[in-house]
Amino acid sequence: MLFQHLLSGVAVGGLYALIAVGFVTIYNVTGIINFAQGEFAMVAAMTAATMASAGGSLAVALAVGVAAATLVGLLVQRVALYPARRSPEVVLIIITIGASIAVRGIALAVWKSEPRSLPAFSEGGPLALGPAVISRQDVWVLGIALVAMVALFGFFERSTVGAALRACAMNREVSRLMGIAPDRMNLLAFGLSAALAGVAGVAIAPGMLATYDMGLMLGLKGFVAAVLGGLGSPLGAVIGGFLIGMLEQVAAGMVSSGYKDALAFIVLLFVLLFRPAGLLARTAGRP
Amino acid sequence: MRTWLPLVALVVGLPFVAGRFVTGLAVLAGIQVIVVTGLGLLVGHAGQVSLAQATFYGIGAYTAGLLSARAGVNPWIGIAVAPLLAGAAGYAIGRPILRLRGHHLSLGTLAFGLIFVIVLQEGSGWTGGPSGLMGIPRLSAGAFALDTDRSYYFLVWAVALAVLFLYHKLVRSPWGRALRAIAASEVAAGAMGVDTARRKLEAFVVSAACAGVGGALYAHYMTFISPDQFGFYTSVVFVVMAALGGLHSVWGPPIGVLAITALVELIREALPKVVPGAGSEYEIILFGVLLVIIMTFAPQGLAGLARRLRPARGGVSA
Amino acid sequence: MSVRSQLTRITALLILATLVLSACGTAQQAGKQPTGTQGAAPSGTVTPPQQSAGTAPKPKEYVVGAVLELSGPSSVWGIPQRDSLKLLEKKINDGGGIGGVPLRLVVLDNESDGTKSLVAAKRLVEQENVLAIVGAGSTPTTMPIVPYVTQAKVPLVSVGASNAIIEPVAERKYVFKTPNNDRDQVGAILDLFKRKNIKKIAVLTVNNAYGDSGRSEFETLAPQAGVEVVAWEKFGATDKDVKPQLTNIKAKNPEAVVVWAIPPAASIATKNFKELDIKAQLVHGAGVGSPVFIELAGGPQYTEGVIVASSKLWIAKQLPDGDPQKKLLLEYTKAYEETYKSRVTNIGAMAYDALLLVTEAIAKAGADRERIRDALENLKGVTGLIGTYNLSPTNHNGLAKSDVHFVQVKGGDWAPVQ
Repeated sequence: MLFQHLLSGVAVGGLYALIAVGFVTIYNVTGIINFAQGEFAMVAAMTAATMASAGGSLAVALAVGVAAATLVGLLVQRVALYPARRSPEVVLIIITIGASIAVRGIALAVWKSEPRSLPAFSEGGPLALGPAVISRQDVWVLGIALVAMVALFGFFERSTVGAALRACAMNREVSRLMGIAPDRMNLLAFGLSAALAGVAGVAIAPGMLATYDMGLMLGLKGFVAAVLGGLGSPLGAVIGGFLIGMLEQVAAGMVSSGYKDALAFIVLLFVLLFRPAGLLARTAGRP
Repeated sequence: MRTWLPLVALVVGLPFVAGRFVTGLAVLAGIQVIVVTGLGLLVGHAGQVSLAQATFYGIGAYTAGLLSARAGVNPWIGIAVAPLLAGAAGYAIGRPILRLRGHHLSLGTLAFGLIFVIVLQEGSGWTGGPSGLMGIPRLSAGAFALDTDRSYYFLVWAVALAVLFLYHKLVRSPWGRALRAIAASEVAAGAMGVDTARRKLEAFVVSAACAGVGGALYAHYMTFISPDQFGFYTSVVFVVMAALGGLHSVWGPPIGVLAITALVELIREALPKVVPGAGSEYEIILFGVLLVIIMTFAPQGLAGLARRLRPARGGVSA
Repeated sequence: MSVRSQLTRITALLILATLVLSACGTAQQAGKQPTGTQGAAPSGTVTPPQQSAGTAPKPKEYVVGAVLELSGPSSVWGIPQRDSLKLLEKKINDGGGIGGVPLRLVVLDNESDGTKSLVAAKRLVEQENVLAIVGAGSTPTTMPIVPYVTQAKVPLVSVGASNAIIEPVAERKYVFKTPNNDRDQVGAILDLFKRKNIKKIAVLTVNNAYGDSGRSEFETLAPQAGVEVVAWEKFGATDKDVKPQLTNIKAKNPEAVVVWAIPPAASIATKNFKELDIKAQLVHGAGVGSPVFIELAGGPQYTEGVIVASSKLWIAKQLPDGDPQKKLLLEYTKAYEETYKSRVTNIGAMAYDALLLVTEAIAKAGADRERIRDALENLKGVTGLIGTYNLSPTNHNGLAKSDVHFVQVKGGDWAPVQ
């Protein structure tokens, strides 16, 4: 039974990992915590669900969903954060809270509160893995998460733009001196994170049903995963994501289902208070 | 004194001028003023963004509710105990959490807030769980029952005015100045000999106690409370009210509460005429957009805007 | 003048302006009627003290209010409820009204929030002068209204599920509700298990007022029925995944699993149930509410064989012609599907029945809140969509265990279960 819980947790973990990496990217490049991260995932899921039920191919719906999330991310950065870029941190925090609320409100206005479903990426019953079962969609989620990580890694390591982003994350001032425009990097960071969140959103929607308010919890759990892994490190975020996913399922199954959500937050508090650098403390990037 | 007289006169006169319905709205507004004043102290003067004000509000409400509905204790005792318990919770939560800075602090308070709601829902044996706590008695002073909107209004606003007055005094005291120094720069304040950790904790406790009083009054007004009323969104609404009114002004909380109350009613009345079938989603959008706009263009809120209309001519600004 | 007093003046002006605006709004809405004290003359009537409804001059219209969750998390219920109310309003007015007097429905949104629910109820009573209120659509949004309508002496027919809405009866003189008591539903489910010789079950409830109520009924009634509950699990209303809880349930090998939840949680639980390949009979409470449950769960392959404790609504076509409810059910289904292009739900039907009870009471009592309340309490044999209502001073719901009907998903559609 433990194995079943762990297996179920791995898929959910991939989801949290994707969102967590987005958090880390934004934090490293811009220095702020993006409260609206979960909402980007929601936008992608809802858009894809709407397109899919209007007929047309699933692949197109997914792509449009991710694109919509990216667009929203870019908009949030440009419209809400850029004008206030010189403000103190207190102000910026409240602004991202405001942005996330506004996005949620717009989602409610557009899509109302009915849950939307997305068809599973492939038909068929669950697959057996020893004594446990895993649904096909969960396998998809895992696969997509892994592919996304690899692609991200490639992007950061191999491409010029990726290198520029990494440079900005390491040291903004010097990067500026080297000719990298910080404002453009901020925008890029947001767009990239939103796209990651979007991928997470469309991957999980078939299994979970999309609603306008799914963003808050997703975002928070992703944040916990990011903090767990040490906010500076994408790899840490990924590991944190899987850890949280599995912990949650085990806690729900073996301890108490009601307190399952509380677990992630208790972990958060624990980490913030006792090991703020995260389980995988890194020295690079911001403290 | 000149400052307060017109305000008190307005407060006393309202129920006789406006109808029963507006008086009812004003009861809720008064409760919110109490809560938001506490928040204003914490966020505006001490510079700590707390997303858990609704948690202490809830602690106050459930304390008063449980004591009077389940334990049969005199409701007035519950109202006295509520801020004490909320303040104690503020102390317990604040001690560890205030070590964090900036967004870590905000997220820490958010985490507490969410845990609190879950605890309320799970503890159905004593909290009533998600079904809520019902049967909370109305208040009565001796034989005189405070069960009309008008009578409750006077009680609530008496407390609200007292809290505002206290806030006014606190802000002008050396304690208040120390808080402002911390908000401006914690490092500098520490260097000047301010015990930053202790002052921040005190502000947190006071803020929590305010929310506790508000919660108790709310519980006895509604006679029914449930966990979903004390969650993240409620905390955000309090932050919106504080920010809109003006985080750094004593008048910020009442202005913010009034402005939001009026805006919400305006949306409810006017919007469906312009956009058919419009509902509360526009309220949510409004709050989000307001937060962004105020923080970007007018971080001093409406009170700050008002102040800017007249050039400062010396004296400490409220 | 100092900055401070300038600031004061501005503040005072602001407050004054707000008050004036609100007061204007109030005056406009209240019209020329004095809002006055409790139980005052409702709009459009002359109320002679002791005359019966028949001899009093006819009012211009009957105004009935409704407080529903039209936005916020519960609007997935509130909207079908409002749509059903509108259908009944239209049907009554097309037929000439109640005793020749047209019916006017005023629907307010409580945004799925308890505090706003109370505010909306006050607005209905104090500004719109309604004769009675239908609502709210759920228990946490109804409870705040209960003390208020009791004090204001306005009859309320709620669409919330919990028994606490109408009990203790001595304190709920003005409050009624239409959804079946959870006690009756659970009792009917346990009877079904007895018929099918099922002795070991698991109970999975959603972590809110509705789920809690179901769970506590099972705790009381299962032992009495000789049914053993081998696993009790809970899950969150917004949970996207119920596999941990279902995994635990699977390990205990129940013969049947009861899920007490509302959409979308109910659908997610169903889908996970099939994904985990659990071999037991899945039974849902009425919270499922809507046929869209099948689609949300991922389609017929996930829901085949699932039983729902429901009403006759979804199997109306298969009812024998002699069934007293068949005509109304078919008429409602046709009108609803044609007007709103969407499937009928039990939740909407409960709201319809609530307004139906109110209008039946008005037909007997006229435009007097107290007499409407008395009439409501004594309605007998009213054929509604959910069942036939027989109310009494000790029963403010009026339905019985026999009004619970089981339906099963067969081939993607609903079929009755014996």
